Amino acid sequence: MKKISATKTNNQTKIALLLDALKAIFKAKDKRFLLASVLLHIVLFSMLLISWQNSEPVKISSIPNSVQARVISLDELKALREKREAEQKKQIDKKNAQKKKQELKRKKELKRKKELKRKKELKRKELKKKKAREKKQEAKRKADEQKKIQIKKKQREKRLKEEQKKKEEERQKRERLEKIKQEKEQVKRQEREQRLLEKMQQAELETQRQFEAERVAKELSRQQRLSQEQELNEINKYKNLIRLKIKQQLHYPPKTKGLKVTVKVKLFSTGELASVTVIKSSGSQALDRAGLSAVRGVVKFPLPEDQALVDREFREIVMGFISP
Amino acid sequence: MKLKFIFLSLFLFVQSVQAELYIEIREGSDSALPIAIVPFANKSGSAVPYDVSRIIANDLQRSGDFDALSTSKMLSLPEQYDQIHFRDWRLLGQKYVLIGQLKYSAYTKKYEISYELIDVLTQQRVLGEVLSSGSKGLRKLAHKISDAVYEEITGVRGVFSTKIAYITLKQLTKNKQEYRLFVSDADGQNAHMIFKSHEPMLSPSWSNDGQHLAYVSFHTGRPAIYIQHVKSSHQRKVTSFKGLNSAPMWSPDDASLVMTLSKDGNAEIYTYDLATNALNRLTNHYGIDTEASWSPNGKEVVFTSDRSGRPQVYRMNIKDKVPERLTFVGKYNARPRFSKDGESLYYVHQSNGGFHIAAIDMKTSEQQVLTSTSLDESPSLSPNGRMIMYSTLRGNSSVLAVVSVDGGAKYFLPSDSGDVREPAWSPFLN
Repeated sequence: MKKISATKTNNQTKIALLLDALKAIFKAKDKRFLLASVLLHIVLFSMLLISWQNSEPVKISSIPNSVQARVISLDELKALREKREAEQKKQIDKKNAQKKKQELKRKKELKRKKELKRKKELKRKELKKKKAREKKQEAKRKADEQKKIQIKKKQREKRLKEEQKKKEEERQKRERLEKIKQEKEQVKRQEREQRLLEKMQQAELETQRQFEAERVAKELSRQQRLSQEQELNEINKYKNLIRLKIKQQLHYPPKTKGLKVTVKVKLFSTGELASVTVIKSSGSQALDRAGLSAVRGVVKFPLPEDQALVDREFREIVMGFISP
Repeated sequence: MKLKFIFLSLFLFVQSVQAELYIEIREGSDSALPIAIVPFANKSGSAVPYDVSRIIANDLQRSGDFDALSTSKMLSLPEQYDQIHFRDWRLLGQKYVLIGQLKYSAYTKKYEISYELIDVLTQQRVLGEVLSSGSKGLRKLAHKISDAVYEEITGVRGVFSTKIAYITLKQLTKNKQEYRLFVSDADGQNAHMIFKSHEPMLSPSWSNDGQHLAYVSFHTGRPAIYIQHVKSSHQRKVTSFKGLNSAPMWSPDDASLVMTLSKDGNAEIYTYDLATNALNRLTNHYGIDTEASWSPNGKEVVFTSDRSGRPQVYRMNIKDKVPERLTFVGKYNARPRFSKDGESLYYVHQSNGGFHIAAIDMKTSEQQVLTSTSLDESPSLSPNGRMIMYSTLRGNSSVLAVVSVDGGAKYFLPSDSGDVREPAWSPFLN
């Protein structure tokens, strides 16, 4: 009896250990494996249960022990006998107990089976529910997981992008820096070359500067000359125009050939006559008068547009009338 | 310091003098001087026998030196100074305006002419005078005013009061013709005959005092040189040598004549002393030398000679008698006349198939043909040296024509006396 109890205790212990193991397993972080193992055990246990319920009850036959002779004392024999008897009794008790136990067990088993069936059903339902829940959870999990994956993916992509961006920025920065560096180097090189070139050109420039100075001086002189020529041309142009105007008004008196009268003509800036006077007579009153009359006869003297030139050159004009 | 200041002042003065623009004018207008001869106001109360202002305008116009404005173009007819609108005359381009009035005095029976010459540009009166004359002398007064105006403006004495002498040929019948020697005003008007002949008359020449005319006449049947007093018509024979007696010309001092005589067998140039009747032969050449005239100073003569084979003009000093050929252009150059200043010579020049009046500059020997008429002959210079009168063929008649010494002005003198030839322009007559 004690032995059975011990065995029972032993079994309970095993179960407890198993439970502990399960708990331990349940405590495991990776719930997926735990869940898988539980399901596996459930399946196996169900299969075992089903197969056990369908098989015939196992017949327990006593297995003849082989004769082993050993000299023993009476006490021992007696003890043995007693023991045997005890054992037999125990055996009988045991058998009875077993019978009771078996009956009980059978009942219990039956009950258990019922219970088990109920539980099984319940469990199946629960399992179904659980499966559904799990499925849901799984779906949710998967969705979450997918979401997480997506998030992660996005994060990763984002990160990748950021990294790429960062890398690109770094690359650009690097390139920029490189470029700046190159540019600086280029500048430095150019500066060096420039300095060299400048040094090389310095001498040439010096020569050219001299030539240029001479050229500029010549050009300046030429321009001055041109300007003077232009001014001279302008003066001559208007001298001729004035001469023409005077000529139209001039009637040289006869018999004055070769005589010359010189008059001073003062003009307003508008070209109108301010005054005219004889500054050197020809000796012929007629010629003097003809010169004066010719000047007075010009209503308006043609003058250049350049007022400065007019003021400088044309405000006072000396005219010499030489009778042809 | 003082010296520096003087130099500086002198320098600045020179600079200022140099700074003035100088324009030399050696040419004048090709047109004549515009002048407006406003018709003189007739205050006489009756018609005047002569249009004095018209005579003046014609005189000045003919001179070639003036362009008289047509009366129809005048915007107003002022009679006195304060009536002159100078702006109008200036707009019309006139240099001078001549205004005047004519009155008649019944007491003296004379006309009184007052005139004023106004310079339009200065608006000043440059000439003014009051003259009087009988009705017959009005023309003379007009010429006198013309002379005064001309001289005032040009400085050269006018020749409008001078006379001209010329010879006309009138065919009386088929076989009878009459040569007449006329003296008229310089414009051809107021002509009166001083001698006539049925025989040819040639080469009238005025004495320098304007009192006498020398000419050649054949009225005795052979050529002789005569001197005739213009006013009295008193005639004196000077030469009547055998052969030619032609082309007399008074010396500048009127003491002698230069003439052509062929008394020695060939036509040669002689001078004839009017006081002593002495002859002085100047030329001695087998060629024909004729048509001599005096230089202004009386020391030289110029004449026509064909000693080179063709008639050309030569000059000769009357003392050394060395001829010098003056003309080389053309095959015919004849009848030379000196200008009054002796710087030019005028003569008949043959060119382009005609005979024209030409001038040669004695300094440059440049020749200028002055006329475009044909068969021009007998040039005679006006006393002021501005005009040349000559005879030329116009239609079928010979007429007198005038050209200015620069060739600018030309006109003909009308005549109803047949052929008119041999003009001679008088000297100034007081």
